[in-house]
Amino acid sequence: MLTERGWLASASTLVLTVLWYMVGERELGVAASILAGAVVFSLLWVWVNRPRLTVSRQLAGTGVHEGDHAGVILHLRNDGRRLRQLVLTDEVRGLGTAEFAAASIGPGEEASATYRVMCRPRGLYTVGPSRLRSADPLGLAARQVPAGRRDALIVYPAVEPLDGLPSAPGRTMTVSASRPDHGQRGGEDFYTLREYHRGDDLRRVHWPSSAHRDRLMIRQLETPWQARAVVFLDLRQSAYPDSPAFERAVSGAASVLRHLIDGGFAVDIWWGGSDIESASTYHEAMTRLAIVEPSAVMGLAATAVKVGRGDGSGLLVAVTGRPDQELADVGRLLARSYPNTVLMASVPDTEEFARFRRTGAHVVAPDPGQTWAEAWARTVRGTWQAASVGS
Amino acid sequence: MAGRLGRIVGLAAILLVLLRLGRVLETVVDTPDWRLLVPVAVVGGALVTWATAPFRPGTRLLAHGVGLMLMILRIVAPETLDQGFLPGDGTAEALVDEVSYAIEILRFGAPPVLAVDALVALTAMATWCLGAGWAWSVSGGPAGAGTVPALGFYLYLAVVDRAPAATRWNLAFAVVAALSLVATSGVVPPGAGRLRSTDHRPLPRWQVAPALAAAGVLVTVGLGGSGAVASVMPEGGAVAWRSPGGEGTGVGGSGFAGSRFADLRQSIVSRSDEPVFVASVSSTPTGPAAYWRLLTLDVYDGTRWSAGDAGFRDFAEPSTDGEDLVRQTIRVGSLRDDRLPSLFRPVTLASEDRVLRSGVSVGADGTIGLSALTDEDLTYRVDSAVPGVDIAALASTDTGLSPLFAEAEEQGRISISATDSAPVEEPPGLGGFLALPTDLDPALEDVARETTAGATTDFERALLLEGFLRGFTYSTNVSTGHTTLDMVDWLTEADSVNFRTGYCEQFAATMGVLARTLGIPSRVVIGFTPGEQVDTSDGLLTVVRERNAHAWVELWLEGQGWVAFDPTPRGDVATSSMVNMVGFDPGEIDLAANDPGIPDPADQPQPGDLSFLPGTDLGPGGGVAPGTALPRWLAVAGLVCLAAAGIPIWKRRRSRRRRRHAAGGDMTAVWAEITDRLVDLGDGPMAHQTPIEFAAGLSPRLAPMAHAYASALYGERRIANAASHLHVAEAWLEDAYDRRQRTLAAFNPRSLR
Repeated sequence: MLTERGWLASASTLVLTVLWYMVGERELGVAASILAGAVVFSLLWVWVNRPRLTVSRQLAGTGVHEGDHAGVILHLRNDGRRLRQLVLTDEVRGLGTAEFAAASIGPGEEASATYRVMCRPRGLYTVGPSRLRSADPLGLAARQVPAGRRDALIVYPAVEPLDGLPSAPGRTMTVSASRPDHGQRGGEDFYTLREYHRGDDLRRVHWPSSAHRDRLMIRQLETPWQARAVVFLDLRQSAYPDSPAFERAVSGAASVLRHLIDGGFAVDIWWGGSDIESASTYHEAMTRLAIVEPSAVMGLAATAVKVGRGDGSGLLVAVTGRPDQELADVGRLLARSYPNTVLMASVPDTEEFARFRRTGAHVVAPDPGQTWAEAWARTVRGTWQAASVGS
Repeated sequence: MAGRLGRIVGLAAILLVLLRLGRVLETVVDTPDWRLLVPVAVVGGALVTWATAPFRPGTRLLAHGVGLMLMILRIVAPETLDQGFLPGDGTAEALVDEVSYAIEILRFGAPPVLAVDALVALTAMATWCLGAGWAWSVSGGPAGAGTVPALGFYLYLAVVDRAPAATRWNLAFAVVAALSLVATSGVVPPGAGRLRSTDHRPLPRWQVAPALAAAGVLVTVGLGGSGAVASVMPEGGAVAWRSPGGEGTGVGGSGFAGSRFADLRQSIVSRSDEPVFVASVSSTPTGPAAYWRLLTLDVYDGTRWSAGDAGFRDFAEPSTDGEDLVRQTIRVGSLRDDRLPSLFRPVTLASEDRVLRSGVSVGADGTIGLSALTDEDLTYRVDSAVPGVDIAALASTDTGLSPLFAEAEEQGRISISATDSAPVEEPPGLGGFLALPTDLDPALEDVARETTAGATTDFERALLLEGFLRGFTYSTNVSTGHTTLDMVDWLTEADSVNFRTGYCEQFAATMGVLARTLGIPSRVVIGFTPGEQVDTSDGLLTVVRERNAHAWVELWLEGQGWVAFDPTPRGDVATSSMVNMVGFDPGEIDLAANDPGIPDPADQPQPGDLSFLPGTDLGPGGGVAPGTALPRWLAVAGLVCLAAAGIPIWKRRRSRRRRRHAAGGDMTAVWAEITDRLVDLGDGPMAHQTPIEFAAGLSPRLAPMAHAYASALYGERRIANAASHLHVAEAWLEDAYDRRQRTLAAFNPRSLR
């Protein structure tokens, strides 16, 4: 109940009283009485003014990228008697604390507070619950209660705007079609009729054929030509000399992911495991990238074989720190499935880059002080020049 | 709002300290006036804090240390400094000497104490820190730094101030302390934002009304509570720390009468008119001067005089031996002591005061001891026997008048005839009054014998010693000390600092020692000169003031007992010497017939004739050595400090005025404010530049302000968002110039021209 200052005042009261007793100076007694009175006054104050408030929080925006600001709006309503010297504290753990003060809030009165928080680094942050602190005017005693719920703030990795795609002579990644997809997703043009499967959209039932065959038939639409890509983020801890290198790689992966999704690619993500995940939505992919961490035990070669059962089309973007022999082996394994390969390396290593380039991969590696966007653009320009020379 | 209140309360606390200092420090004639120095120190501390704000803490502390040291040296030992500020050869010695004396006063002095140089320096040092703390608090430091040290120092002053403070002091302290609690509450965290109401109106973060109400409650509680509890607190405290303790303790535990002398010197040098006590005396006694005895010092250890065993006992049945009685009714004023002043030899004491009736005793020397401290309005009545001093008997020998008096009789200077006196019983232990340390410098005895050459009786020797010393110079502006070594130098070394110059402390102590070297029992008495007769409605009253504090000597003369001599040539004629009683100056009598080696009286120093002192330039002050006037550098430094402090204050006021105008849409005020700041930063506009050109040359961020100013100047004068232009420009100034540049610019007077 007593604040640090309140305890100090109490101790001072004791000392001054003893001094008063010893030396008999009345003004020591005045000081001691004032401090003692202040402590009692403060305790009574906070005992009477117990905060009873309802607090709700609203996070502006569902996802923010590293380096952006996130807005937080707090609403509170006083459900008790008039409160004085109220301090509302809301903490985004790991990012900062916002404090708001009000001299007085009447019963039933509503108020709001808005703050912005700089989001850095990427990750999942807990927001709240808020703390309400009601203090006396002298700051000697205070009562603090939690209020509101706990929320989560996801900070996506930083993304950089990329432009264009590196392409090898004779290949155009964006027109390297995948096979017609007979999956449930379907396309827009009629392709064939098939039997109804549970879960199919009933609006696609072809009623004449169903009547004719006495079983439900579904119109299967043809999937349009769509460029496909797989973004591989190397999570092996050994590939990164330090944490900044890994963070740059994550940022690079996020940047290329957004670039490809914006470009109409059907993007899958491979983390080095046995499965490739579909980046069905941008936010799902970014959420995954927000919390991804390097792993000390991970092998790529075994899983790469499984992942490599492709049809020889599409784009593979491998994002790593410093490329090594294991990654080069994986590159060779996947070369048949993904003839168009881009290597994004956050740590410059000229020798390894040469090895990858010999396999036909495009290497995007920013120089010190250079951004992914600049390095990407440089690589794109390089492929165009090569194409011109070769044609 | 709370910050502004904190600044005001901090200043009020410092003001309270300065006022309280007036109760515990006494202005001294011819020494630097603390009433000027101490406020200057406050300003100095604040200025150094502000001026060094951009630097690291270590640098700031160093600047304060240098400033403090310079100030202390300039106050304490200015004459020893080279170039006026560099410590010279004697600086350390002078500093130690003065500070030691100041500490002696702090330990034993009874406030108001004498504001000697070192005490002024120490006080200025403390107030420098108060000013620095206040400046720190208003510059972003902790709010308590501006008030808590000042209130703590005030409490210290209240404790050392032995006189009880009036209620108004308690009230003033309570108000400032309560407001300080409010101002430093910190209930609004630094940087806290504002909540907004449903209509998006920002809610106030702090309200002054509840805080002031709380302060009012605290003042009431503080005064009322302390008043209620005071009844159960021991009066004067459980620890008898206020006792002067002159007989038991001292510097280094050497056991000397430092406190008495310290008090004495303060009282003498202060020349205060503060009434120590007021007495109604039944009749003007004839014979010896009516000095008020307080304490007798009878032990000399080669360093100091101190009080031995006074042999206190209860008042016995009155025994006057035929002596006249003088009744004194005494009402104590500012005197705080465990001795009661009285005239001559007290025989009875009566009082209505219970403590005084039960706890009073009288010493063999006539000192009245009290088992408590005197306080204001303590009243008591003493009947004292007036010892008859028979000059004729003292001047007589078995064969008639002693040679000195016979010669004076023959020269017609006096008319006296030899007479016999009744023998006076020697008190036990009289030999103790002859005790001197075995290692006493023989030069003292040489001086005594040379001075009294030709004299044949102790009375003649005593008269010659008194006349010899009264030929010296009276001055309170001397360094402390009356040790054997000091005494020899004081008497014989013309190059010594205080050669034959001093006040009653030196004269009485020296005469006591010289008398003992001649075999005359002696003791030093501390008390007061007779005081001033004031005719009031209550009759003729004797008012004894602080400036009447005095020390004199009593010598045991055969046939007469203890006889008072006053060797101090005090300039205000407040004292009465035995030489005056006998009616002639024994130094003018040629005793060469008795001792050819005796100096020619014409060569002897005469009161006021100081031409024989080599190398002593006394200046226009005549018989009193000149003191230290307020140093001119100090006044100049004070004015410079005040002027320097005034520049940012003036600019702040100007800025506030322009801000108000800007809030009203006056764009010219915005432009004037920003360009003035740039002028002080050294980047002001050139005469040929238009506002837009000037702004474009500095930063694109200033361009909107320049365009708005041009629009206001040549078109519509009022600009709706003038205040926001000012805000943007100020933000740019903060980005473009570091804190050091901005602080230095704040003291630049260029824009004020």
